Amino acid sequence: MKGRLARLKEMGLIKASEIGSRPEKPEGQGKPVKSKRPVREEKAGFLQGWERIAPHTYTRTMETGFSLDENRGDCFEESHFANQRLRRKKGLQPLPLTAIPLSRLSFFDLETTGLSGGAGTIAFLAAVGFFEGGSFLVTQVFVDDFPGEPAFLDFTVNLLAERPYLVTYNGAAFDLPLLRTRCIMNAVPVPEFGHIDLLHMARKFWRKTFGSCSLQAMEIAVLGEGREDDVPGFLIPRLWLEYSGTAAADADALEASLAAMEKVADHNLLDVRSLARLFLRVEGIMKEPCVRWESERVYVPHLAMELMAADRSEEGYVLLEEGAAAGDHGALKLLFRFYRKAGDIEACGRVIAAMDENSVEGCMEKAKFHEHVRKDPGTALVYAEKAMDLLEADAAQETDVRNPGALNRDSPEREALEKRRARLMRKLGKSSGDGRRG
Amino acid sequence: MMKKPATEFWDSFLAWLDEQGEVAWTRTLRQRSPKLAELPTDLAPPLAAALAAKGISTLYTHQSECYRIARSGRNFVVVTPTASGKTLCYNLPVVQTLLEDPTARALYLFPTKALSQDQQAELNEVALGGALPVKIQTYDGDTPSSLRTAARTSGRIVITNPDMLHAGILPNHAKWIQFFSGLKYVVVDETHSYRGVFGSHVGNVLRRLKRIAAFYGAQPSFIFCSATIANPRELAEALIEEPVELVDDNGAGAGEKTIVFYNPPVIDPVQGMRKSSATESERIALELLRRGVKTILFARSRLAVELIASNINQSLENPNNENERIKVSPYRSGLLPSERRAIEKGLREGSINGVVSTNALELGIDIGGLDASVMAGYPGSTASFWQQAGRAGRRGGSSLAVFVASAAPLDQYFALHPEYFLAQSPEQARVDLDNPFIFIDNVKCAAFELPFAEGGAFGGGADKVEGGEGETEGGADKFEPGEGSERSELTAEALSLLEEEGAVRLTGGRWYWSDEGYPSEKISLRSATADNIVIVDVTGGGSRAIGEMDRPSAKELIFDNAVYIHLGTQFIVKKLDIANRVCHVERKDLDYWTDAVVKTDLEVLTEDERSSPGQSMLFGYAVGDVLVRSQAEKFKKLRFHTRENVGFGEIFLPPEEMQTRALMLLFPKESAAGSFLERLDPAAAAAALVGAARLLKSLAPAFVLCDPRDIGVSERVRDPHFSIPAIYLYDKYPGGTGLSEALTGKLDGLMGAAYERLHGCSCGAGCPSCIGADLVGADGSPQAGEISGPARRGGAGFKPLVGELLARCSGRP
Repeated sequence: MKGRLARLKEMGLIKASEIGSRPEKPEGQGKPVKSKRPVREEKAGFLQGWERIAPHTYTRTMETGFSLDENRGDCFEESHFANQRLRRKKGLQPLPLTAIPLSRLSFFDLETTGLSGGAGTIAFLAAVGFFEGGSFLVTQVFVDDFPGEPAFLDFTVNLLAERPYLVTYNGAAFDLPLLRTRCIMNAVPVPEFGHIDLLHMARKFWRKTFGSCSLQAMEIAVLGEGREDDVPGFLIPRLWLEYSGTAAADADALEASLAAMEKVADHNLLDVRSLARLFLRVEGIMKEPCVRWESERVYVPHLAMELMAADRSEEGYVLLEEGAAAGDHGALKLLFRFYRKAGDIEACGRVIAAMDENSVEGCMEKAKFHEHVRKDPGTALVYAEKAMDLLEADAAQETDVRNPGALNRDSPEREALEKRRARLMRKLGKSSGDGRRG
Repeated sequence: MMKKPATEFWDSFLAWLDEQGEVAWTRTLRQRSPKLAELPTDLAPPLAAALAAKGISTLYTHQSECYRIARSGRNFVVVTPTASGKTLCYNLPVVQTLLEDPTARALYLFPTKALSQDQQAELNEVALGGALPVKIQTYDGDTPSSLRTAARTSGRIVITNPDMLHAGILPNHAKWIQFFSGLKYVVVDETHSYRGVFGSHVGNVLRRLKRIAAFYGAQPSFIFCSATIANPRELAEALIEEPVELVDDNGAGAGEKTIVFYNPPVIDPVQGMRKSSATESERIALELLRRGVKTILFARSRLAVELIASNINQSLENPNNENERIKVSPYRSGLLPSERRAIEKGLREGSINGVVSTNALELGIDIGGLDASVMAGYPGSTASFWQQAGRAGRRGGSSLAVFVASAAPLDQYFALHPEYFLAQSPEQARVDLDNPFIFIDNVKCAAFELPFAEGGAFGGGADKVEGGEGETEGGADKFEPGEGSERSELTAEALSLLEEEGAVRLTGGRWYWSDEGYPSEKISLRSATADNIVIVDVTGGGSRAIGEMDRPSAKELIFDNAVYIHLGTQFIVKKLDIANRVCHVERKDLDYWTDAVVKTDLEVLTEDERSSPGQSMLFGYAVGDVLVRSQAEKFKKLRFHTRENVGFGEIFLPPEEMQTRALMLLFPKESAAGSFLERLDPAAAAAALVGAARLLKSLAPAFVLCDPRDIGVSERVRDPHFSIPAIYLYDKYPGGTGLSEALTGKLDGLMGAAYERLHGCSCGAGCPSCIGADLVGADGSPQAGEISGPARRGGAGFKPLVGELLARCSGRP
């Protein structure tokens, strides 16, 4: 077998898994440019301003030019929002109202060698942002080659432990499991941290209004600032792999990849800075929901739900009523649910009346209400029929643009309506067979 | 089922069968009474209670022996014919150990998802029925993500398949820390299915598993279950590179079983043509079903399964009596899991009376008791034959297995030699863990999972990770990591190859994974390619995934305008989009199906071994690496039932390429065979080579005991590489799995058998049972596509030429 391996090498390895479908390799990815098996020595240093703390491991702490005073003045000591999220995440009993001071939060983000995870993906750059006084500072930790990983992890974990409440963006699915995996594999003890994944909150607030909720999209849509000359996230793994694989002796290549690392570090820093700004924005919305929801373009029903869950139902109702007044169907629907639960039939009727009778959802809700609450199958049937007409009209319109063959034919919506109609017919003593679409 | 006494019932059926064609021979295997042993004395009370609840108060002797060995922590393989109480062989020791030690865990590996499902159902019954506190979790591609975390953290027994272990579990081992730390047992069921390329991969996956377990300080013992094969112990030892004990004294009883070898009637004595085994099997199954016999029919291809099932249902069609209340389903790979589950359930519960299956149902999926098994042609190995025969009579009682011979030379060979067939020790299963492609692919995955230390070794029994705890137990010398230095060199060589492509990097004394990808995602354990084509039904503007197919098969089966049959419904292919791995099909009723004509090119890359001039008196040979390029260029439209050719179509698809190992038979003019070929005109020489190649390919499985589909052939009158006539016998898997080398050692026997088969064939100018009549493959398979050139039009004078060539090759007068 040894001889055969050697031959494969001569021929240029064709992997069994790639035969017949050899993908065209992106430029620069084919043959490695570097000399064969370079002598691996630790590089002389890292970028200007970084301090070496262990072999292969560097750190720096940066001012971000972002401080609380500009934004919010007085309210930085505590975070009821953070408190509440942490409590619910852990499924614990309501905490006494001791709030977590902002100064106990770590805003955390990792850059890694791969986006798909797994045991072969490592983190090479960590950013930990924190408030000190009014200023937001970021400490970054960088490892320039694999052997430095244990020191990198050790330092990072200790840094986080100083402010053990973590705020991340998609950390629940990515950063924290990855950190844990790396620590297990390198025998670095990892404590349990409190954690808020801001992505979840952002999705609730803004998915309906803005669509994409990536951090960069939030920067533009919510924080109102874009980035210039930023390195795209998907390139980052490759940039570090190239940098770490470049021998110290290869001065030109080293310089080029160092420049790339500088950009990666800036990207990482900006991520955490935006994360903190977005956090404060969400925090502000939670503090004064009724004042801010409109200007921040928050999706009202979800914000109201957050408030209800935090035992702030009074504000929740106010918000929902405001949303309802603005004609938001989601708000109307929620209001209806809450009022009905509270047994306030009159309020229910008012809400139902306010629903749009030219929308499918509106008519469906009206039909339900008249059937079950008012016990008035006649009126209910009118709305059910109307909903059906609207649905049909929608379908016809869609058919024009899309494929023929009525996509809505067997949609669950339609099925439910058919059932309701048949039942109402029965209640009214009509045979459902004499309907229009029997 | 049967009102009459069993023998009388079968006798009347056999009389019917005898009128249909030729019953070559029958054998009745006697009933066997069970050998029993006491339950182990150390069973935990809840476990004993669970057994009692299931009515189990004694064990078979082999179950008892398995318990003893497993509890002592040694590895073993138990040979388990169908209905021998296999699951208790491992469930008993495993559950007992898990009850004693709350941190202990076990991993169950089944080759298919369907089997995992079945196993969990059965285990749950044992565990929950007795309220045992042992949590069982299936973890495979069908497990919803909401249940995965629970499986990882709280599963005491995790049931999975090698593919999931390879691509889902091992690459994420840190999430499985509790599981790996406590891993005590690894159960490898259906071990005999781990052979060839799949087995070679699985052996490497087990190397990786042991490496990860060692990292967490665990050293599990292995329990293998295998069908009857010639070398269960060697196979198990080859898979884990550790000593394994053998338990093969089966204590279970068995019901009476009659084996019938049926040869379809000859329809053209001159050409030696017989009725197709598929059609005859279909008729036999239909007759059995009509007589109220629950029947399984094994066909050789997915297409045949669909055709036969649909034909049987059509024959039964009668609205007045609800098809005589008989329901028959097709079963094959490529169905959706829910569809498979429904069929299995229907069979168990009796709402389905018959099933037509590929070998997918050969494995231990529980489908309850069937009474008869019909096999359309030799399933490629004696192990498969006995497995398929065993699907009838699982619950004891009298059963029947009808083997319907195809015109293939191997089948006809067995028809004339029943003793040989019944006495033959079943096949050897081979794996080659060090196939360079497979080895490198797995070193790559292993490096992703855990960096290699410089000088570290992968496999060869040297899987103890540096710093891993636990010493190797004393065992046979051959498994000691004594060959460690050679292993380390091999591993280092593979790693430096990977370094050149940028996948790993040596730094600080370790090889680190240095790529952004996730390697196991791109490496399939089962075929050369990982990228399956998804088949999407777009009828009426919809978009519904109805199946999957690997890319090489897709190019030959679902090209544009091909007819694709899924669960008896006909579709026509609108567009096969290889780049996007999707194939759009549309429902359409047609009266034909399609069959691709495939052309194969070969390029010699290396010659590693060549016969010496002294050896080359008759003919010469070489062994080496080749590049095989195959391309489907056009297709035939064949009418249902009559197989009449009703037209052609073009296929425009890029060729498939594969590097593999080949045995090259060479005919220099100085050799006996070569001097004969030299005198022939090129067309005649081509015909002689084609005929000989066909025969060699079809008889090879009797010598190297592999599936005929694992071997490809190609022949040249004037080979561009050697400049002389040549026949190539190549391994159909990239890198080879040792078949070419094994064939080299059996060349004399193979040539002799080919000669005897040809001269023993009573046909005139050649028939499908020897060299082919019109060179349409035996049993209508599309193998003719591999034969190109003028030979296809050969015909007259064809057989004597092949005869003379083989006579010279085998050194006969």
